[in-house]
Formats: sequence, C-alpha cells, structure tokens
Amino acid sequence: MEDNNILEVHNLKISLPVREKRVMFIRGVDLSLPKGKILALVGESGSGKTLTARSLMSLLPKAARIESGEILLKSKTGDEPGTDLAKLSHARIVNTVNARRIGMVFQDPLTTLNPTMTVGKQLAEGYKVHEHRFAGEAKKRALELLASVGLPEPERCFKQYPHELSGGMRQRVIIAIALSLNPDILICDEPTTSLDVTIQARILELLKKLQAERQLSVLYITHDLGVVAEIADIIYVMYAGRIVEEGSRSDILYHPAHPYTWGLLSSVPDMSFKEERLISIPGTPPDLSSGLRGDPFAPRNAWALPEDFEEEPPMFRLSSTHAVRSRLYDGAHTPPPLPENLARRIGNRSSAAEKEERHD
Amino acid sequence: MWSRFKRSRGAMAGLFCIALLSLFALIGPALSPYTYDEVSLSSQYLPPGAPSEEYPGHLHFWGTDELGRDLWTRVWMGTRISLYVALLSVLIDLTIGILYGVTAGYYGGAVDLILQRILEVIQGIPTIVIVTLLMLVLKPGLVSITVALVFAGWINLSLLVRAQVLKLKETEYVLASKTLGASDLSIIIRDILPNAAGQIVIMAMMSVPGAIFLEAYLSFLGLGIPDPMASLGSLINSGFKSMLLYPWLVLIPVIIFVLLVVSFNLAADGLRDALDVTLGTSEDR
Repeated sequence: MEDNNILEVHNLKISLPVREKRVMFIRGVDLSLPKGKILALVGESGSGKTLTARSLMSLLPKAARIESGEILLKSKTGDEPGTDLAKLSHARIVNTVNARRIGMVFQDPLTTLNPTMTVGKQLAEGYKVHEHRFAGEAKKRALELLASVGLPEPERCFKQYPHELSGGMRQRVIIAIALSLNPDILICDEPTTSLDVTIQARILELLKKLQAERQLSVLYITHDLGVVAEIADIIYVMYAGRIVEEGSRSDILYHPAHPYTWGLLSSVPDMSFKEERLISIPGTPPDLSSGLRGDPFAPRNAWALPEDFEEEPPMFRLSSTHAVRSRLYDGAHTPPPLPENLARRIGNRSSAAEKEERHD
Repeated sequence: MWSRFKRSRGAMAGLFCIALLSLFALIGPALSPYTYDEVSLSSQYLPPGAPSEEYPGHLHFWGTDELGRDLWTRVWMGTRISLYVALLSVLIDLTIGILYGVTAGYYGGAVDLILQRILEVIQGIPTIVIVTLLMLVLKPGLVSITVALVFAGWINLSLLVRAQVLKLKETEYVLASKTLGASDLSIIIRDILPNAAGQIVIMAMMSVPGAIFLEAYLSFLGLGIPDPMASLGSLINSGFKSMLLYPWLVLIPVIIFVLLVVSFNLAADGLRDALDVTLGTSEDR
C-alpha cells in the first residue's frame, strides 16, 4: 500500500445473481484514493460505480457477493498497514468503519432523511447518543456542525422536520450527519443530481470547503462531467464494471485517451457551440448477464481493433498519473487523433481556463 | 403528539365517547337494582322508563325484554364484553401482528418464506371450525372468543406490516442509517415503524368492528357468550326477532354498538393524523 493512499481497492470482483446465474457486475476494479484528495468515479448508469462504493461500507444487497479482491483501509493515524475490509465481517465494518472512518452522502435528499424524525434526533442518531442525553457538549457540537455546513439558523433547524427544509438545506443536513463522527473519508453518491443547478454549485462549494478544512479524502460518484470538472483532483472512468481510464483532472479533461472517455466528453452539452449537434455514444451498455467476450466497449467503439473482440485489453500507462485500458496505446498502434469536435471543445475550454487564470 | 391529537375535534369526540361508554360499562349495571339475569315473568316487554314492580321507586330505564330482564343492565354488561373484545383485538394486532410482520418483512428470504406458509395455513382454516373444535375442550364463553382472536385476529395486520416493511426497508433513510452503523433493532424502531405507524393504527382500529361482529356471530351460533350472559351482538340478535313490536330491544343496543364503532374509527383517524408529522407542524396550525 502506497504511503499517501488512505484507501486502495485491488482487483475487486462482485457478483449478483441474475436468473439463477451469478453474474460478475464488478469485474476487477483497482482504485487508489490519496489522502486529502477528491477522486471522481465517472460512468454511465449501471457501470458499477454505486456497487463499488457500497462495497466499502458493507452495504451491498444481500444477494451480492465479493468474489475476490481486497479493500485496504489505512488506519486513521497511518502508522499501521491497511485493514482489508473485504475480509472483515459485516458487523465489524458497521461498528468500526461506517460513520467513524467513512461517511456517505446520498443522491436524493428528499428520501435520505427519515420523515418522522426531527433533524436534531437524526443528528443524535449520528452521534450515537440517546436523545434525552443529547444536551450540553454533544448538542453544542451538533449545532456547530450544522453551522459549519452553512445552515443559517442551526437552533431552529434542529427542531424542524425534514419536510420543512428545502432540498439544498436537506442535503446540508445529510452532509452534517455523515460528518458527525468525524470520518476521514467521505463517499458522495451523486449528491447534487437531484438539486437544481444553482443549489448544486453551492453544495459543491460546501463539499470543497469541508474537504479542505477537514482534510477529507472524498470518493465522488457521478455521471455529470460538469461536476467532475468543478471538483475532482483525480478522475476514474468506469465502464461495465471495470476502470477504463484513470488520470489526474487535466489528464482526463484535456488529454483523454480512451474512446469511451471521448464519447462521454463529447456528449456533455456545451453552451459555447450553439449550432452543434449533441453527440452521443452509439449503442447501449452491454448486458453483463449474457456473458462477455472481449472488450465490452468494442461493439460501440469506432476505433475498436480486431483483437478487442477476442480479449479485453489490459491497462497501459501513459504517464505516472495517466493509464488507459485500450490497445491503441500498446506501442504497436498509432493512437488516433482526438475526434475533431472534441478537440475543438477542449481547445476552447483550455484557452478559456488560461484566460481565467490570467484574470486571477 | 398529544397536542396534535387534541386539535382534531372528531378524534376528541371519539375519545370522549369511548371514555363515556367505558364508564357506563363499568358503573351502569350498578345504577339499577337488577342483575343482568334476573327474570320477572310479570314484567315482560315493558317500555323504557316503566316503573319497576319488584323494587318500588326504581325505573326500568330502557325497559325489559321477553323474560322481563332489565335492558339497561343487560346492555352495559354487553358493552363490557364488546369493549373487552375490542381491546383484545387491538392488543393482539399490535403485538403478534407487528412482531410477525416485521420479522417476515425485515429478515426476508427463508424466514419470510416459512412464516408466510404458516400464515397461509392458519388463514386457510375457517375461524368457525377452530371455535367449534374448541367446544370439545372448552365451554362456550369469553375464553373461546379470546382463543379464536388470538389464533387468527392478527393475520391481516401482519400482512400489512410485512408489506410496509418490505417497502420501507429499501428507502434511502434506512440505507443512510446503516451507513451510520445503526443496528437492525434501531432501524426497525426508529425508521421503519414510525413511518408505517399511520397504516398500522388504522388497520388495528379497523379490526375492532370486525372483532365485535365475530363475537356477535359466535354468540348467535351458540359458540360465544351463552345466555343469560349478554353481549351487544347477542342483544341485537334477540331484539331483532321482535323488532316491529318492541323496537327499543334492538334500537338501544344498536345505538350503543354504532357509537362504539364510530368512536373507535374517529379516534383512529385522529391518532393517524397525530402520528403524521408532515401534516402541518406545531407552528403553522
């Protein structure tokens, strides 16, 4: 386990039963989350992002099984070697890891809070104290926490029920609950997807602020590349249960290498190109239950090589931070240039970014 | 919660009626010199308010029946039985029904499969058969009604609870509680049951009239409360035979019966609204 990584996932495989057959939905994921960084896990629906994240907290569906792999979590002080969460019992993870080491923020703030309990009671649940003892020091800390996530009147909010709060405020409460036991890792499962854009920007700001203040390591799951550009230090692109490209923010956003990443980037609506037709990736994600042969992306890939249909390519390193699962980069082939419209967009974006930097 | 309950007039009226009926069920028989089984062949079918022959200065408040028994005493004795049956059925619903439903719904899988099959077997046997068989070992009376209710009275509620739990355990707030390391018991008590409470309360209260009817039906068949003991059901049944000539014999027990059922339903409605925090808050109502 490398020194600055707080969490490492090695060759994780998870299967679920589909029509009496066990189907591998996570087919060997490798992931390392460096301490104090924001890692974005990007992919289409069904690519296995959420399943991967839930496996870290032993929240997999009952029928799911971790087939192989290890999930190494370094101790808070960092002096011991990592514990393998894949080998710990469910009860052990629930009692020692969840909330204390890893906090989680969910997608839909409307449904994540229990509608029958006041915000204060739910925070008390986070602090694992009984409500009637939830006074004095603990309550003071809870109110501070509510204030630190940007809720204007913590005292008032404390007594309110979830339906009396707006979506953005609810998401702030959820973040506060997730942070109540001071975890050092925060998993965000599309926390801004169901919020409107202006609130979304504020929540992202808040997450960035909290991350910096508390030195959190964040695993941010999303399909929204706009959000990724906003927040991520490191980006992993996931497709059909495997990582297809990993790299730093600039690697992925300005020098994408995998044709799938190209497709994802081109399908983001861009306001600076009005007349342009929005490009989507042809075809649909593969049905993993019908058995795979070769690279699952090959049928949708205009740059697929004949051997891709036979065998899945391994990861090829492009730089110390950048790696891609595509034979185009195996040295024997000449990598194709970026698709024209994507190159134009990236050029446009990087010049805009430069301009902004000059302004600063 | 009590302040929310108080705000509903219907619920308060229901609660008041239940309290009043319970009070009279307790003290009513004592207000008349007659016992429920005192026969007087010289004072058959006396109308309400008729003076008493045996006890000068006393009245038959609600008249007498075909054997000259005092209806007032008999109705309140019958209300006792009906209230007992009502409370028993709620109690059974809230204990066996909830436990059974939560266990089946929350743990699912093989546990659910086995519990549901057992339930289907119980449901498949008609209550009347069970009670008839019980007559082999028991005398007809309260015990047989109690056994019948304990045996099958909780089935509908447990099915409802199971369905609610199946739905609620997939909600994100349950998942969120799990990320906070909450135990199964705390998830059931804090997240699942409060969110199903409205439905549970309504269902439990709806079973009250059913249970009272069951008692009346068993009494009618001679499997329930035996004569001369009275229940509202058996009073209505016997009064019904002479309804056109002596209408008070059926009207009075029917009115009490309707009051009882309606006030239970009103109170249940209020309780459900009081439990639902999303229906307005302490500040805006």
